[in-house]
This record gives sequence, C-alpha cells and structure tokens, in this order.
Amino acid sequence: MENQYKIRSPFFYAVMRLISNRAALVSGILLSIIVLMAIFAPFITKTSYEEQKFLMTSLAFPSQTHWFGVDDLGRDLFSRIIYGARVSLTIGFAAAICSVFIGLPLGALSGFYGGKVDWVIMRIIEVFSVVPPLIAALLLAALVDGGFFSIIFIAGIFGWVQVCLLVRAQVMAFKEKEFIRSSLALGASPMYVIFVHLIPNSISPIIVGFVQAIPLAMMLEAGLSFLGVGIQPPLPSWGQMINIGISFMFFYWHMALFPTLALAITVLVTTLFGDGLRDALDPTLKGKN
Amino acid sequence: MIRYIINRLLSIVFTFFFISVLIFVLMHAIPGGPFDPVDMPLSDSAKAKILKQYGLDQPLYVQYFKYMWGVLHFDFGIPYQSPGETVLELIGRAWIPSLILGGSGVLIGAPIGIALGLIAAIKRNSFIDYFTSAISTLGLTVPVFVISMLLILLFSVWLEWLPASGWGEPKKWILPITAYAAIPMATYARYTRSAILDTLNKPFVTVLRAKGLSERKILFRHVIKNSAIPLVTVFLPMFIGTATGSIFVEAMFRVPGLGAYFVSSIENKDYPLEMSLLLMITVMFCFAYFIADLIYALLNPRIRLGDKKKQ
Amino acid sequence: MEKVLELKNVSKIYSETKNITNFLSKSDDQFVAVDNVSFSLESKKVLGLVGESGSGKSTCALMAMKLLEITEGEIFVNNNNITNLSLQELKQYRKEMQIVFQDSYSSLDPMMTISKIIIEPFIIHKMYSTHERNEIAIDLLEKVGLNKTYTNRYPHELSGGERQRVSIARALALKPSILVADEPTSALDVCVKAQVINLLQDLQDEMGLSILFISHELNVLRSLADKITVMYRGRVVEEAPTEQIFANPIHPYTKSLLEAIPKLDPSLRKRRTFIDDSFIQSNIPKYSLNDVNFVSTNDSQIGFVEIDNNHFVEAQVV
Repeated sequence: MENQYKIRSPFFYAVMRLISNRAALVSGILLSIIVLMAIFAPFITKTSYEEQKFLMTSLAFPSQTHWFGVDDLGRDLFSRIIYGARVSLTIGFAAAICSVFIGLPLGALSGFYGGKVDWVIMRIIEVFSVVPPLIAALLLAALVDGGFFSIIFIAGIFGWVQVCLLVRAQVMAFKEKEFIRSSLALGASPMYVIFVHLIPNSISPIIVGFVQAIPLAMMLEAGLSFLGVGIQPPLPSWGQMINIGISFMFFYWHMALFPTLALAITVLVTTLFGDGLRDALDPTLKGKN
Repeated sequence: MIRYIINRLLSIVFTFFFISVLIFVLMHAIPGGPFDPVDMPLSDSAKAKILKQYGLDQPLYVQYFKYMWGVLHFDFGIPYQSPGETVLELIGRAWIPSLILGGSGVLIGAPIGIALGLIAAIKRNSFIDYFTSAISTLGLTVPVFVISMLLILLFSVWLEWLPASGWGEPKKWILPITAYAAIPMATYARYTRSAILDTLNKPFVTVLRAKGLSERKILFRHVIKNSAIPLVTVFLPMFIGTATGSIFVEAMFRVPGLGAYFVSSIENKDYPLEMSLLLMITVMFCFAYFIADLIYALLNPRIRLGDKKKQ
Repeated sequence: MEKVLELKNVSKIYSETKNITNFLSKSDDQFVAVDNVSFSLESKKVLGLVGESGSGKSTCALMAMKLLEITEGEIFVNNNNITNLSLQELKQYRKEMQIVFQDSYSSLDPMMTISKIIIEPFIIHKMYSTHERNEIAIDLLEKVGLNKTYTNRYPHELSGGERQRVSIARALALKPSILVADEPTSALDVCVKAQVINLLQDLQDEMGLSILFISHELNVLRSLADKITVMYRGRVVEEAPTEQIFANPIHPYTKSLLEAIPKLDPSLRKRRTFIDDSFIQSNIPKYSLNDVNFVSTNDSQIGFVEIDNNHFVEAQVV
C-alpha cells in the first residue's frame, strides 16, 4: 500500500546510526551529565567556588563532607571542579560557535567561488597551520591579558580552520552536482544556491566541525590557564588547578588528581561523541546506488 | 614537479614574511617593554640609554627590517634575559634536552603505535583492537600535561618507582619520554589501523585472496606497502610538534630545555629570543609539510604534483 | 523554420594560467573541449546531439544553458543574443529554457522533499502563493506519471526512473519552450528508458516543446529526433535529418556509431572493424569544391560542406 509508506528524512538515518554506535552513545550520555552538572552547579553543591569556608581543614583529603577534599586556600575542591566544568564547557561551546561563524562563510565562499577567493583563504589557513595554536595563543593571551572572553576569542580564531576546511570540501564536492546546476538554470542567484542548497547540505560537516572544535577550545583554555595566561583566579579553571596541583602533588595528591581527571574525562568524552557524530553523519547520502 | 616545488617554495617565502610581520607587530603590541623597571627604579635617562643601546627607540618598521636583515645572515640577536650569549647559542644549548627527550619519545612511540595499529587491524574487534582504540583516543585527545600529571601521580607519587622531575641521570628521563611518546604512539596506532583496514577492503586484496595467496603474504607483500604512504608523511610534522609539547612536558618535569623559553621570552618581552623561536618553529613546520607532500608524491605513483588534472 | 536556440561558432577552451609560476613560465596548457561548434534547434522539433563521452556534447549543453562560461562564439535564444547577459538579465530567459541531466540522483537536492524540489522554480521566480504552488506541484507530478503520495518523500526513496520524472517535472514547471535533455536516459535500464522517452515525446506534443536531446546512442534518437548532429572530439562532423543519417552516413565516425547499434537479425551482424582515431583521421571524406556546397572552414584543408539537401559533413576539400 502506497499510503503506509514510511517517510524517512536523511536525518533519521543519522540518528539511528548514532544510537547504534556504543562508544558514541555512552560518551553522549556522559557528556550530557557533565553539561547538566555544569548548568545546575548551584543546586549540586552548596558552597561556591571562591568561598574559603574550610580554612581550618585546608588541604584535607577527600571525605564524606568534601568528596574531592579541600584545597590549599580552604575551598571545597568538588565545588571548584563543578564550577570549573562551567568555565570549561562555556568556553568550549562559545569558541565552537565563534569557529562556525568564521569558518562557515569563509568555507562556503572559498568552495563556491574557488579561484582567487579560494587562494587567499587557503593562504590564511596555511599561515594558521604552520603556527602552533598554543604558541600563537600565548602571544595573543599576553596581548589581551587573559580573561574569559579573550580566551573564547583566541580559541575561536584557532578553531575556525577545521570548520572552514570541512565546509569548503563539502561545498566543492556539491557545487558541481546537477541539482546546483539545475537551480542555477532555473535562475537562482549564487547567494540563493549557497543558502538554500549548499549550506543545508553542509550541515553534517558543520555539526562535526562544531563538536570537534569544543574539545580543542577546552584544551587550549586548559593549556593557557596551566601556563598562567588563561583564566585568572578566583574563577576556577581545571588547567589552572592542575598547575597549582603540581606543587602539592607529592603530599596532597587530590589537588592534582581531580582536576586532571575532570579535564581528561570531559575532553575524551566530547571527542568520542564528536567522532561518533562524524561517523553517523558522514554517509549522508544514504540510498545512493 | 619542478614547477610545483618552485610554487611551494614561493608560498613558503610568502607565509614566512607574513608570519614574521604578524609576530613582530603582535610582540610589540603587548603592553610593556623589556626594560620596564620591576625591582629597581630606573631613571628616565638611564632607560632611554638602554633602549637606544638595543635599538628599541627606532620606529617599528626599522627595527623589523634590521632584525630580519640579521636573520637572513643568521644573526638572531642577543637575548635580553641572558646577554652573555647569542640567541643561537642559547637555543643550541637549551635544544639538547628537548631534542633528546622529544626525539626518543617519537622514536619509541612511533614503532609501538605502528605495531599496535597493525595488530588491531588484523584482529579486528578483538580485545587488542579495543585496547588500541582506547589508547590512541586518549593519547590524541587528552592534553600532554594531563598525561604527564597522571604518569607522575602513578609512578612517582603512589608507586614511588621513578623520580618525577629533573634532568641528568637517565632514570629521570623515563617519565618525560613516556609523556612525549604518547602522541606519536596514538597517532601512529590510529593511522596504521585505518590505513591497513582501508587497503584490506580494496578490490585488489580480494583478487589476491581469490588467487589463493596466503593471508600473510597478502599482508606483508601488498597491504603494508600500500598503506605505508600516510605513515611516512605524518612523521616530520609530528616530530616538530614535540617542540610545542615541550612547553608542557618540561614544565611538568622541570627539565631545563627549550620549552620554558617560549613562555619566558613572551613574559619578559625578550624580543630577539621570542622572534627567533617563533620563526624557527614556523619555518620548520613549513618545510615539514612541504617535505611530507614531496615524499607523498614520490611514494604514490598515482600522484604527479603539478600535472594537469584530466577531467 | 524558426530557430529557437542557436549556437554560433562556440568554443570552450580550458587553459591553466592560475598560479604564479604558470604565469611566469607563460606555458599554454590548453585543452579545447568544444571547437567552433554551430548548430541550431528549430521550433517544436527535436535535435539529437550524439557523440562519445568526451566529445563535448554535454559541454555544449551547459554552454547553451549559460551554466558554463563561453570562450568564444555566441548563443541565441529566440533570435536574442544571450551570450553576454548578466545573471539578472538572464533570469527571464531561464523561463524559456530548461535542462534535465543524466544523473537523476545528483539532480535532486538530497535534503529536500519532492514537493519542495518541484516548487523551487516558483520560489526562485517568486510566482504563485504557497497553496497554488502545492497544487501545481501535484499537477506536475501527475503530468509526469507520478502521484501526490510522492510529495513528502526524499530523493533517496525513489527509483532512478521516478527521480528522472521528478527532474522533468521541475524542468517543466516554468512552462519553458525549450528543453535541453542531457543524456536523460543513459543511466536508466532499458524498459525505464523507453518509458522516459515516451514521456518526453508525449510532453513534446502536449506542450509544444523544442528539445535538444543529447545521447551517446544513435538508436535512442531514431524515433525521437528530427535532425541529428554528430560530434566528435569537440567538433561537429556530420549533421543531417534523422533518416539521412541512418540511410547515408558519410563521416567514418558516424558510420562507426551506426555499426555500434546492436542488430536483432543475426544475418546482419558482421565482424565489426575496430575503428580508432587514426582510422577516422585517415578516412575523412574528400570532396571537390565543384560537387558540393562549401559552408565554412576550420583550417586550410578541413571544411564543412553540404553534400545533399540539409546534409552537412566535415570533409577534406580538394
């Protein structure tokens, strides 16, 4: 019966593939838990990240009252880790959004017009590919003097390259396709073609680029904060906490271990989820052949 | 081919010039100067004298061209933080620990990674395959200072097997080398696995199987040869990448190498040292990618760089 | 007869002078895809354009549609020169002339539903209300032999023949008078191929279309085309009414195309002589200027001559 035919969009198949990928599913769940913990931080812990409430028991080891122990300045380490997740994730997401906003238009233009536009954009990308992001970020961080928004900006500057390349490759692959030519033959303007056909068809690389930019930004932030030019205290950042942890690690290992684990797990989970998304979205053109 | 090489060299010159200007401007745009009084008050006239001595009173573009002219003659200036030697001498001295640790890290990590990737590809979906995937994902995603920290906590703090920091006796090298080895190992494990799997799925392998060739012969005579290309090309960029890693590894393990100078030269506005370090890294990366592309072209008979694309 | 589409001395040359070193060395890496081609499509007729892959026939189609830059020559639509029009000026001619491509899958945006694909022309030209658009979409689907159950499906859920029908429906949405069909049946299997050709024939009668039908198989054109133009290596080598081409092929390349048609009667099958480029080069027909009507010349020796009424062939003039 024609009428009972189930209509399934390409998106449906992507979701099915994602769910059937165990690593992606588990990391997706873990990532959601971390995100929820970051959002509802005030409900999870009663002490804020900067209150030096526990000076009497400073450097105390993990216990029932302080799950992750107390730091050298009498602050509850668990609260600091949770609020640290806020900082890290916010920077990751915000920087990834910046990356998409820079990378998407540049990638689309470069892929669609090719020629001189492409040449210029590729040279810019070449510059970014030979300068290690961390070292350039060090320079920039020194210039704008650390801080929350500066880090987002810096991470965005270094995150867009991947998004741009992904979108460019997709647009280049699609612009020679017949449906683009059909649209042009119908009288569509280049802008119409870019917005109505090319960008929606680049949605997979855009999502993949977005998700992959998140851990990169988080790592950059952690690296800069570790070196003391990133997030400035009292705002908690895992990188900064790891750096402080070094001085205490031989006697008070919890100061070093928990921020390290928090960073490792979050970055790992985000990357795994991003990889799963990429695998799920990659064969976008299901049904061909 | 020659046309391609010339093209790439021109593009490297262009990139180099652009980056040198960018770094120079950025460097000088950072507020403060190298001789701003920190501990001792410096009279204005004394400061002016020092600035004049180092040529910092001249307009920026003059300083830039003077410096770059020097660079073209291999004169990289004198570091402000250690005026007793030239920048080249300082880098040459500090380079040695970084090179020993980073180099051994790559040389040890890469073969292990290749072996893991190979086994993982052959025994797909086995325990070792999952183990390799886990290890390589960890090594590729987790920042090197996190790996270092976990190594220290495990082997120095809890097990007390190995010293956590310092330089000198080889025992102290083990942990930093392990930290350095993580990235090459992870990269190679992942690349090898996917390259071998890719090749195993090619029709020509099916044809070889149909011909009755043994799996081992297929693997060693045909598959490995055909999968080797990407493995060769990632080597140089990865090797130079250890320079960035050194910033963290050496900070974690307190190794007196090059890494610390990246940060201190920026903090202290040590312009000649800062500029030299950044230019050096940039040029090395440019050439690493260039050589990687050339090797790729030489090894891959299907690609002739610069040839006209048919259709 | 009124000419609705005309290509006049059109050439397409791909040259590689993109980067600095090429510019410095001044080498001319040129590839001539289409070399001085002229042909015309008459009103309410079907012109078959035939040739092997790489002969430049699809390039001609794209240039005729102004989807590809023209290196040399001019293109006329209803006797108006559209060669140098801007995108904005071209827009009104787009309503007159539409194209259907070979690959039905890549002809349809995979992210759009069938109804969205069919009403796209109205969105681009800002025609009709949303409600009217949907009604017209269903009309169009029925016209090409599909029905309204297809409207919410995605291209990957359709078969090749169905997708090609959707492409045709979209191309006809603006009621064009000219349709360029760029190998619309090459990717389809035999019985679907026949259905699509029948559909095109019906639509031609119904809508009074003029069709430029591109194919690499002569037999597809036999029932469909009024006139056939044979292209070989970017040049037109022979042009004649369909019966003439089948009855009296002159150029060795045309002959080889005819021989390639499978024959039903085994007694007619003969051992085929393998025809390669050098054979064709050395067997170019020769004519004396006294016998034929000289039309134009490409270079000193090879010219385009009229050997019979409306039968043109590229030949050596002696």
